[in-house]
Amino acid sequence: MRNLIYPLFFFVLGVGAQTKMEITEANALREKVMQHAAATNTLSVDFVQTKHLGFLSNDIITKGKLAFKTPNLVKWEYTDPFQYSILFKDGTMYVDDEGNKSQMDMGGSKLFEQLNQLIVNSVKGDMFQEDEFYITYFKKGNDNEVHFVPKNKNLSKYIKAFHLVFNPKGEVIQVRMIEPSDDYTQITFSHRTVNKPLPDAVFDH
Amino acid sequence: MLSKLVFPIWKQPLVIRERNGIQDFFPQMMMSLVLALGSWLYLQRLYFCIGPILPKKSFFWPVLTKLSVLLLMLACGSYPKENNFNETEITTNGILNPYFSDPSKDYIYKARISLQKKEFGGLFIVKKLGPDRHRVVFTTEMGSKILDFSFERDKFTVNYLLDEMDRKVLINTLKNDFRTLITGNPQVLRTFTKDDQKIFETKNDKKKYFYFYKDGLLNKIIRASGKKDKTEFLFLEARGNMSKIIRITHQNIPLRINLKTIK
Repeated sequence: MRNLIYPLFFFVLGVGAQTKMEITEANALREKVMQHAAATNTLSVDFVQTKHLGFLSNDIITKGKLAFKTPNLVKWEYTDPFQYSILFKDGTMYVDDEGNKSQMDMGGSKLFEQLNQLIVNSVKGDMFQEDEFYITYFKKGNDNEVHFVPKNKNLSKYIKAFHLVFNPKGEVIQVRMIEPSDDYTQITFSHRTVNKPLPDAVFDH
Repeated sequence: MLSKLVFPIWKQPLVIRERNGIQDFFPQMMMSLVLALGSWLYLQRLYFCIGPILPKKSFFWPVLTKLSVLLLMLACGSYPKENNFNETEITTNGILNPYFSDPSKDYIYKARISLQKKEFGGLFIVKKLGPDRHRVVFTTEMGSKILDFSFERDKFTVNYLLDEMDRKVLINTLKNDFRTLITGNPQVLRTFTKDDQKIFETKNDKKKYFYFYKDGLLNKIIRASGKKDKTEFLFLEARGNMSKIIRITHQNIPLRINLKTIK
């Protein structure tokens, strides 16, 4: 009986798991995603952020909206369970913490600027820089998952890997940033609106 | 008065280890003197009454001497009753600080920290992992870790710290603050009452703290050692083992930590 159960167990596990992509498939995916990213001028999308810390009983869930406008205007607006927004504009980070407004020149924190750029790139899907990351491609049901492991030692002190999930259209539907401790932050996107004019007021502080 | 200099933020200063002018203690000193004189005279009587009956090498002589010293000490020991605090017998019923004591709970607070003139926010996360084990993590709202500390009895471990935060004074200050927040049962040295408040003097990691209770709830912890070094922990909107709002204010350094629960 045991001889039967073990292979069955691994078979069931294997169905849900991801399989590595062929080179041609990977190239096709990269093309599709980069075309999609290049054609994205504005983006408005809802997000659910899951912070996983190994020692906690439950993940920390926060929700909000993300707005993006080329080339580099990004606003993360958290609405649940607290009101908090962070706007990246002209090399400055503007924070509105439940009405308390502050700003920070990102020149003071290279890491922050780098992380922001990476988040923007990952939201757009434009992260395929072979000189900066070891990249591996997987198939996961209908979706595709791409793993980016930083080559830069400074960055890898903070981030062990980025895992991006793309839907069949080549849009990013999930970003997972994994820390060296294996704790991670996962952002899942929904209700995506692309290239619909975004009023400038969205990016006012 | 000293209290106004040291504790300006107290609306009704609760003086803890303050020595006022001698005039404040004059009545107490006189009382002590009278008591001491009385007990000495009483013992003299004892000596005179019993002395002649007792054999010279009786075991009762040392007992009598010790008794006289004890009585004298008791008389002089009515020593300042800490101004408005009334010292009581040490009684502790259960956990002194219940606010981070439930191991089944994830304590998640939205934090606002003001250090010097900088203000920044994040999530303050605490988890009790064992009888004397806690993990304390601070992240940005977007999830990046800023610090990650482990506490186990007297052991303290830095699991992670953002390079920009790596300053000894800051780490020590945060270590002391967080240790105070998470310690459920510090060693109680003395207990007092004042109006409708109950106050516990405790020791934690070689530092003295005063825990203030009203209506059975811990609403304040004060760390006061010396004139300048003072930290106040306020617990607001507390219910059971949860304080919805926590405010930590330092006097010696421009550091304020405000915590507001999000779940």
